[in-house]
Amino acid sequence: MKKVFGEKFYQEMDRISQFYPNKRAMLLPALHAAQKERGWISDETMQDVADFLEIPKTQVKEVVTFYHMFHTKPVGKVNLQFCNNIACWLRGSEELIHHAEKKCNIRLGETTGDGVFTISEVECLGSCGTAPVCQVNDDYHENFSVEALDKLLEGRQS
Amino acid sequence: MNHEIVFSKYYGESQTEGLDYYKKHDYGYNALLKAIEMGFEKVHQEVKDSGLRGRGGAGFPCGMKWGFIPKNTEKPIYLVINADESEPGTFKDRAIMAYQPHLMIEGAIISAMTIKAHMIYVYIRGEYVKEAKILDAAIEEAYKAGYLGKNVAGTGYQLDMVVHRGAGAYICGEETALLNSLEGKRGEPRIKPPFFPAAIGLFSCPTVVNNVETLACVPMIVSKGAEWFRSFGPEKNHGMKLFCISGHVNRPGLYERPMGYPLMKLIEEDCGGIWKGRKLKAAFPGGSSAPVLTAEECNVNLDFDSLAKAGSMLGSAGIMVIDDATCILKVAIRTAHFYQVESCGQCTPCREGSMWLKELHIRLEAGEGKVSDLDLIEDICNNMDGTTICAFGEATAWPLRSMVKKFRSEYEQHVVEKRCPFEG
Amino acid sequence: MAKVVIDGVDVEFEAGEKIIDVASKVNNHIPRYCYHEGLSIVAQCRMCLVEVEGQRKLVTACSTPCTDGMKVSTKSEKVKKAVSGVQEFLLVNHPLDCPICDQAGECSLQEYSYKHGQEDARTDFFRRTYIDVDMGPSIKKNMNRCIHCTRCIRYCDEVGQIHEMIAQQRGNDTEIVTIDGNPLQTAYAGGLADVCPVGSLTTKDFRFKKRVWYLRSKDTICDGCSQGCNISASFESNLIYRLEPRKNMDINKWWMCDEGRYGFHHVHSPSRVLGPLIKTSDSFESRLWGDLIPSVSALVQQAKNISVVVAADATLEEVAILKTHFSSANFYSYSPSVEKTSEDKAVDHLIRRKDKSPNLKGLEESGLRPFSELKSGSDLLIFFNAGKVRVPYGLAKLAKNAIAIGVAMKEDLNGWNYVLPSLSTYEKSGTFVNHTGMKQKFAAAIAPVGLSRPLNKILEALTKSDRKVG
Repeated sequence: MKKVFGEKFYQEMDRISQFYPNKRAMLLPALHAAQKERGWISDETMQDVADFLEIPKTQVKEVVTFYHMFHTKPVGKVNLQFCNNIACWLRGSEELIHHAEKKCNIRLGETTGDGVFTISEVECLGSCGTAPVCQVNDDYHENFSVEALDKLLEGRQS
Repeated sequence: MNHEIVFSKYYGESQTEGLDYYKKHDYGYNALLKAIEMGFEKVHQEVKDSGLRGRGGAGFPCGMKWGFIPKNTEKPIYLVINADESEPGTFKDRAIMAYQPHLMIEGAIISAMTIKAHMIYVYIRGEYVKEAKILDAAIEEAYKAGYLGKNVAGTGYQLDMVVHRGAGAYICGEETALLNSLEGKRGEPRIKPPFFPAAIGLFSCPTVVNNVETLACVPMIVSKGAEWFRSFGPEKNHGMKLFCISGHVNRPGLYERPMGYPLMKLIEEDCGGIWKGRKLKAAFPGGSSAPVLTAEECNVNLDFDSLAKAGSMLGSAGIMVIDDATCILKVAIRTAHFYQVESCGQCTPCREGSMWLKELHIRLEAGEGKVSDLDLIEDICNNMDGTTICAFGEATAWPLRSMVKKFRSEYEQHVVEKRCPFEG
Repeated sequence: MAKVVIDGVDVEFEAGEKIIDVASKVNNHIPRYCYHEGLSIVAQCRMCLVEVEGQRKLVTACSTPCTDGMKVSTKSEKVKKAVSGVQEFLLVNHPLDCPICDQAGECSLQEYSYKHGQEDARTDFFRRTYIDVDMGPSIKKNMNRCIHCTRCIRYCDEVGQIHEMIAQQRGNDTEIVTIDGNPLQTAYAGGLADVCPVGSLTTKDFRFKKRVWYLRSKDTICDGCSQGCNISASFESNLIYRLEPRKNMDINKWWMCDEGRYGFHHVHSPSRVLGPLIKTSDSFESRLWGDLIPSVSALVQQAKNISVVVAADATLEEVAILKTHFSSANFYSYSPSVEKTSEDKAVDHLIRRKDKSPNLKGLEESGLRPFSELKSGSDLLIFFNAGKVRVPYGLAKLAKNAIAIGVAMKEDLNGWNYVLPSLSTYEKSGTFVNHTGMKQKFAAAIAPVGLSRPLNKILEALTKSDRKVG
C-alpha cells in the first residue's frame, strides 16, 4: 500500500495493532495520529484513514463527526480551549473567554486571520480543583487568569 | 473516624510516576506477588468481603461485578479500565494516573488475573494527553519488569495492556458507549437488557469495565486485607475515598477522606469555608448529574447510601460548591448546556429534552420567561427521567429538576422582575 | 407453551419473541418509530415503552423478550405519561408542515399524535432547519421532518447492504446524510420511503402526485422479474400512482427493488396503443374492434402454419386460452433477458433476478418451446405480451403476416399487420409461476385502460367471426 502518512503514523499503528482483534478498533488511535500529523481531519484524511484500516469512509466520517476533539476544519497553531463548565464558570471562565475574544478580535469557534489563534469553548476538562482551566493545544493551563492569558497571547504574537 | 492516607501521600510532588518511586513508596507490585501466592479465587473473595463499591458513579459492588463473568467461556475475556473521567467536577482519576499510575496498573493486573482476562484496555479521555503519556511509559516499565507480557511475574500467565484514547465525548464514560467507542464506532450506549457487558461486551466477548480509582483500591485490599478496608466508612460504604472539591471554597482540590465523611466538615474545615466571606448556597455532591443540595441539606455524610437518602448521590464524588452571590439559573444554564452538547442523540427524550431545557433556562435567566415555564421544566425532566437507554436522561433531569424545585422563588423572581436579580 | 399477560390478556409466545410482536398477535398495537420487523433493534425512539410488573423502570417493548408469566401493561398511567412525553419531544423540532407533506395521511407521527399526543404545544422556540437534499434518482430528503429513528441507516446497511447513509455529528445536531452528498447506490433506495415513518424520505416518483387518502390499493404481484415479489398497487380514477411491497416471508420479505417499484409507467404511458390498429401502406390507422375483427379473423383462417410467441409476462390462464384457440400452432416463450429458466439467476444478495419477466417458469411448464427454436417463414406470427416485456424489434419480419396482441408502444409497431390492445398485469387477474416454481394468483387492480380488451374476449370475438365466415 502506498504510504500517505509520515513514518511516525505507521510506527504507532505497528506498535498497537497487536492489541486489537480487528482494524476498525484502531480507528480512534489512527485518527489521533493522523490529526497529530496534519493538524486536522479533512475529507481526504478520512479517506486515507479508511484506506489504511480497510473500512468504508462512511464509518470514518460518522465517527470523526461524533467526537469533538477531531477538527474537521483547520485550527490555529495555538488552540485555546476554554473550559466553561460549572466549576470553571464558578471561577470566572466566562471573563477569560470574553477577554480572549476581545483580544484576538474573533468569536468562539473562530481562528484569527493569520491562522495563529483559535478559541473555543469545551466541556469539563477534569481540572476543577484548579479552575479555571484552558487547554492550549495538548497542555492544561490550570488556575488560568487574565494575566496568564495576556502573556500567552502576546508571547505568541511577537 | 478511622482515617489513613493511602492514595494521596505524594500528590503534587514531582516525578512520582516511575516504577522505582512506586517500589520505594507504595505497594511496588508486592500486592501482585501476594495475590499470586493467595490464589485468585481468594483474591476475588477478599474483594467481595471488602465491600468495595465502584468509584465511577453507580457504586456497584466490584466483587459482584467480577462474578458475572461466565465460567468456562471459550471467548476471550477483557478488562477495560474506564478512565474517561468527564463528569463535571471530577478530577480524581487524573491524579491517580498522573502521580501513581503503577497503583492502577497493579490493581488492573490483579483484577485481570482474577477474572481470567488476558487483555486490558485503558480507555482514557482524549483530553488527558499528559496522563496518557505517563501511562504509556508506566506500562512499558511494567512490561520490562515482567509484570505484563507473556509471563506475568513468572506465572506463565500472558497479559497485555494498552492505552486507548477517547476523543471528546462525555457519553463514552457510560460503559457500553465506551465499548462501542473502543470498537471504533460512535460512542452510543447499547441497549441492555437483554445483554450486559459481562456476557456480551467488548468485541462481543465477556467484559468487565472498572473505574480507575476502583482498581487502585485492589492492591491495598490484597495487601492489607478486607478487614482493614472495611475499617473505613460506615456499613456498606467502605474505604478511603478521593473527594474532588471545586467552586467557591477557599481551598479547592483533591481531599482523601474516609467514606461517610461529613460534607460540611469538608467544606468548612478542610477547604477553609466559602470564599470571599460569603455564605454557602448550594452544592452538587457528586458531579453535575447529582441533584443539588441546598445549604441546609449539606449537613450530610459523603457516602453512597447517606446521599441517596438525602435525595442525591455520591456519584463520582465531584463536589461543586456554590456561594450565595451566584444566580442558580446561570448554574442551571451551564448544566443544561453541558447535557445538550454531550447527548449522543440516540434517544428522543434526551436529544430533544436537553435542548428544550437549555432554551427554557436561557429565556428565564434573561427575564423573558413565564411562570408556567417552571412547571414545564419539571415536567420535561419527569418525561426524561427513566425513559432513555442509558442514565443520561436521569443525569440531565435530576440536577435541573432539583434546582427548579429547591430554588423556585429565585426562578419566579426572574419572571416577576423580568431580569436577573443578581445583575446590578 | 409459555404465556405472557399483556393488558390482562394471555398471549402465547415462542422463546426470544419480543413484547411488541407478541402484543400484535392480539391486535394490541404498541406505537413505534425506530422498530421495524425487518430491521435490527435499536430501541432509541422510546415510543414503545411499556410497564413490566416488578421492574422499576419502563422497558422498550421492541427490545424486551417475553418471559413466562411476565405481566405487561401498555396502558398504565405511567406508560401513558411517558409515551405522550416522547411524542411531545419528537414534535419539539418537527415542522408541522403536514399540509405540504406527502406523508400526511400515512404518517406515524400524525397517527400517534392523535392517539398518544397532547392537545396543546408547549414549545415556542425556533426549530432545526435544513435544506432539502436530493439523494439520487429515487429519493428526496427533508431533514426538517426527521425524527432520528435511524431506520434508513439500518435499511441501507442491512437490506441494501451498503453502508451509505450515516448519522453525522451528534445529539441535537445529528444529521442523516449520505457521505459527501453522494447519490444512493442501492438498487432498493425507494424502500427508504417505505421505512421512513415520517415525511423525511419520499420517492421523487410519487412526491406531490396525489394525497394518499384519495388512493385505494389492491394486492398484486410485481411483473418485473422472476422473483414474483408481492406488492400492492395504489390507484385513483383508474390511474396507478405507486407500487409498494407487501410482506411475504417466502419471497420478498418486506422489500422490493426500485426497478419493480417504478416499473408500472408503461401502463399509463402516452405511447401505449390504446385502440386496435391496422397497418396501411405508409402508417397505422385506428379502427373500432368490430370493424377490424373480420379481417383479422380472415388472416388467421388463411394461415396454414402459425407461430405464437408468448412473452413471459403472460399469465398461465392466457397461455391456456392461446393454446386452446390456436391448437395447431407452434408455441414459443419469450423473455428479453434469458432464453430459458436455466439461465436465470439472482443478480444480488436480496431479491433481484436476471430474468426480467415474471412467468417464464410457467410458460416452460406449459410446454412452450424456447424462443431460439422459432424459425422464420411461417404464414402468420402472433405475439402476445402484457407490456412489461416489450414487443421485440424485428420479430414481425420473421413471418409473412404478423399480429401483436397485448400492450404495445407506438414506437414498436414496425412490421406488424395488426396491433390488438390487451391488458397489462395491473388490469387483469391471473397466475404467475416464479423462479422457484411457486404459483401466485393475483387480481386486477384497475379496469382495462382505453379500448384494451382481455385476451379471452379478443379470441372469442375472432371465433364468433370465424363462424360467421364459415
